[in-house]
Amino acid sequence: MTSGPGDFLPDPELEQLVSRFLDHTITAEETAVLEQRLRDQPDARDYCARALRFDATLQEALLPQPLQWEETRRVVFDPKRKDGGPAWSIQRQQTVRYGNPGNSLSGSPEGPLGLPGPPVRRRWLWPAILVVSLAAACAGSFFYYRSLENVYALRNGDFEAMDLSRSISGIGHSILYWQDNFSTSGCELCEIGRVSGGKIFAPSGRNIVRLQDRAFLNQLILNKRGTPLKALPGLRVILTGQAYSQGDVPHSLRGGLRFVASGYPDMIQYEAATDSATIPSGGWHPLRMEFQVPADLLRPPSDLSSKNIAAPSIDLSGKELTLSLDCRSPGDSICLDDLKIEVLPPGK
Amino acid sequence: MTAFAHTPDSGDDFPLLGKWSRSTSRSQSSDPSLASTAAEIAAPDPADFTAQWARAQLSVRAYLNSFLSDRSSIDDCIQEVALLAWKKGPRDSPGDAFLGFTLACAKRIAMSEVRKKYRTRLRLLSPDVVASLSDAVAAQELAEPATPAMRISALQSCLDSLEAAPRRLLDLRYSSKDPTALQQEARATGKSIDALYKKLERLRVLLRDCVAGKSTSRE
Repeated sequence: MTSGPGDFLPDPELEQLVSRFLDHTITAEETAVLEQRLRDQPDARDYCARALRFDATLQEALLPQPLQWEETRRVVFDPKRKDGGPAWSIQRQQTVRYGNPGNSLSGSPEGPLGLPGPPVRRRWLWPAILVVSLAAACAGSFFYYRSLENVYALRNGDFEAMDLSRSISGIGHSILYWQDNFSTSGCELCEIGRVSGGKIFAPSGRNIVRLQDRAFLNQLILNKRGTPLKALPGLRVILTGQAYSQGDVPHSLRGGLRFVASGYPDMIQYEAATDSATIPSGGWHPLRMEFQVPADLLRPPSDLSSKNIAAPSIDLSGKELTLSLDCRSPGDSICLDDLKIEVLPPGK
Repeated sequence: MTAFAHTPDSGDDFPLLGKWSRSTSRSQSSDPSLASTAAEIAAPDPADFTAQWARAQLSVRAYLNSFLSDRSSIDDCIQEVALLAWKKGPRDSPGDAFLGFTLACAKRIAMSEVRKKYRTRLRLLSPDVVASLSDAVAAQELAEPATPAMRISALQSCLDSLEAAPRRLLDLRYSSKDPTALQQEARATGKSIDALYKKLERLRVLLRDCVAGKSTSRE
């Protein structure tokens, strides 16, 4: 690179500013000074231009950049076009690679043209990553959503959803999620340790439910998406938990999967499956009930609020199922805690 | 800014582009439709293009240097300029037309890149300063009597005369793909990073004087 005889000799400040500009170490204040000098002094501008050109020459001398691309063409010759003359049509596709082995751009190890290491520009890379990520997120959401479809669980099965610690008596009659359609006064939520004066403790947490004779619990069975469980022939529902009763004789707990056709003014229910369990007396015992929905689901009403109601038999297939637990414990009560269900689709 | 001719594609102004004429014949065929298609089919002669590009590449890099500061952006722009030159560059025009075309393309591509950099708040010189500086670079490149090969060769011989330590410093600054190479060198040698940049500044002055001396003696 030549520099003419009348070349401007830079002062040390300009030399330093330009050098710091080239090395990207220039500060904001220095940039302002450099810009002003480049605006006001043509000689300074020429000096800076020479420095930029020399910097480029240094770059080319120290790290020469090979350039290469691939090109494919399809050439079609049509001897008789519409207007009678011949015509060519050409389609061309190019791939460009530029740079040294492993150098900045993309790090392609070797090019197909035999030159070492020219990286490929990958403008498509980030959009492609974005699209793949979105697709994966959509697919993940879809499968997650689908997976929730078959997951059924009791809500407030451990009865700990309500805090009775501030209740004076330690007893409540509102049992969250367990009074769907109907409620009964013989059913209590108890902080049993306090209520029993320390004689009985809950298997887990603080609260249990105490059912007097003829009292009941009802819960519409929902999956994680909030969709009710539908009656299907062969469906099985297994209920497990802990049960407690006192007295000298065993007590009985009756359970059922019911379809509530009407709650008010007339109560009409149909039972799809039923089971009962005997609760041994004294202490907490594991509770297990299994409800098997039969093949024939044409059922008469099982529970009516009045004998005068003329409710017909109906096919329960596809009807929403409610878990009902009825206490059959004359003169005494049953305590329940840690209730869980497992729903097994037909054929499993 | 200098008053320039219009580029065919962008409307940007650039010197010497007027020297390149699309009327330049690409084919000797007398049938106009066949003439143009035949010219399309006749791919650019790689040997011709190589010679033209070899003369233009250094100028394109120098010109892009006035717009952009980071090497990878400049390399990307050079790639785009080269591809445009291959596809649309004047092939049979007299010497300066190809250079004018590539610099015009470089200006358009660099301006686009600069707009992106400003969007990302990367600090650059003001647009008016960049414009005047790039004009100065382009004018110097176009007036440069020495070919790029001669310039690089002169610089190479000056580089060869350097001792290992300064040569290593230059390699770290211009050849390393690791942006922290100089910081690592400063830590390894126990010097401050400012001292290394000062050393680089002195080395560039030294090499510039060395190259100027060689070109003076050649004249």
